Amino acid sequence: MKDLKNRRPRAKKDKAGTAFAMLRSKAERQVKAEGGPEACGKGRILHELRTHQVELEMQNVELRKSEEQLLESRRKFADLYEYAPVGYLTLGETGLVLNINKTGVMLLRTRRDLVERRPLSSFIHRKDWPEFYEHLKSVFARGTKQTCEIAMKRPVGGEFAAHLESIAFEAGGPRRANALVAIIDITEKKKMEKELKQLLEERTARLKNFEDKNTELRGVMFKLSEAVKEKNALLQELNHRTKNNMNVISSLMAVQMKSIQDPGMRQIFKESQNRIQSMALVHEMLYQTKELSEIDLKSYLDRLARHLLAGYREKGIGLELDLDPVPVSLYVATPLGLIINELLSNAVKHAFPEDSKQGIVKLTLKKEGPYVRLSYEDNGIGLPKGFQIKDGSSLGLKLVDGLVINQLLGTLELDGIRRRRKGTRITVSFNKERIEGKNGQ
Amino acid sequence: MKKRKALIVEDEYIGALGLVDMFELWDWDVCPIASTGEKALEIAEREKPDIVLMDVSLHGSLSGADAARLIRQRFGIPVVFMSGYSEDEVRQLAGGKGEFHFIGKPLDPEMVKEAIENVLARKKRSRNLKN
Repeated sequence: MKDLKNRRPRAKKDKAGTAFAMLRSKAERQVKAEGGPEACGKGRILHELRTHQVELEMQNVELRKSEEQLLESRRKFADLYEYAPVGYLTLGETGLVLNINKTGVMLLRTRRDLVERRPLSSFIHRKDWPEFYEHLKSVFARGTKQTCEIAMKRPVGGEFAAHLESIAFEAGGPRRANALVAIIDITEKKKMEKELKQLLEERTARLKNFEDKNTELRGVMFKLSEAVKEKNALLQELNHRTKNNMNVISSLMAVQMKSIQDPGMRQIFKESQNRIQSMALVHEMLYQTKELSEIDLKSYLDRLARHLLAGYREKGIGLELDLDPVPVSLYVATPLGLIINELLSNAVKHAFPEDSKQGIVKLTLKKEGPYVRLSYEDNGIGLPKGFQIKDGSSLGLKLVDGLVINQLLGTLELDGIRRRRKGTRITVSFNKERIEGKNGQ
Repeated sequence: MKKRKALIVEDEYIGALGLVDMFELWDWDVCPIASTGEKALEIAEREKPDIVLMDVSLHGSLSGADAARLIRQRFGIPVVFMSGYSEDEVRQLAGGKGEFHFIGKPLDPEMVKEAIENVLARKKRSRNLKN
């Protein structure tokens, strides 16, 4: 029998050797503590055997511990594999599924045994086979990570979009290459992409529609603005022609006046001419200011009054104006012009029979909201006692009354009627908006 | 013989004045000039004219066409429209139903006289027929 000591593994100065040596001395300490047989003769052999037995028992315990540790470690790695957040499988070179993790099985909604040993292509939509085989080919040919997107189908029906990431690795001996494949369900991502694409297409279509409409509108706007320009030009022209025609009438009257000797008749002609000119001035101002339908009453009355009094320059009547700017339409300007024409003509004829050089005529124009008030004042002899405007023989004041009441729908106030006192004041008031908002045609 | 009476509804005062002179020359009575539809109704009711000459374009809330319809309905007075617009345009504004009489502006005294005589003769005939 060989010395048991010699059967022990040789103590090497490596880790394992050290471990054995430690184990041996530990076993010896334990046998000693138990109070084993003497270390000589049979006793020595018994002691050796006992020590060896203890040593083996200890080794056994250590081995069990190691095995448990190994199992635990394997479980951990298996869990990492099985429950990875992506489907994970190993493919043979021909595309056969060698094994698949739980997530992969769950992705395919099937059983593991129905996947393993079957070609992965049976879970791939036929239309994507060419792409899948191309992918597989490049995985084994290149040896680097390859990706592809394909439609996968489930044995129970239905399909999902999958992203594959695959890499080849050498397995078990020469020329045996497998591929590790990760399968990621990208259905949601695809759906979102599709929705986004659709949204983008819709938006683009809408944008195009807007752009088309915009272009169309711009065209219409252009046409409209051209039409408006043309209409404005025509209106301008019309104002110009109206003014010219009125001037022609006025000139004709002037020509005819030459053959009239009677001062009374000449006066009638002169007054008619003034009336025509006061109307012509409205059109002239409309033409000059480029405004189509409104003129400023302040400028109009200013020009009209100066023009009228200039026609009677020899009388030397002074003019005072206190006029607020009031924009008005033709409907208001024309009758007001005629009214001022009549009042000033009347003043020239009757207000200052003695010394007209001392005479002053004042016009005041004020506006409060829609109400316009135009006052005429002079420092002349005043109106005759008991004067009634309607009974007056003069067409002038009859016109003033008729124009204020019937055309301006306003009121007329006369001061200085009761007694012949110094001066006359006539005030015309009306609602500008009532006249300008005409009803019907 | 009782003088015949006309009501002139016109918001251009000087134009109305010309018409008043015309009627006075023909020895008619003329009501005060009305420059709005409302005023026309008021005067027509009070003065009971034989005929109304109505401008289509008026100030106020009542148009010439509305005022004419009310005058015909309420008082049975014939109305002759006067306008610078065409007869067809005015006929459309007037509603196109029943009697329609029209004189174009600017007014020619002979045309006015003829139109008025026609209207009054027709009225007389229809009154005789009813009797």
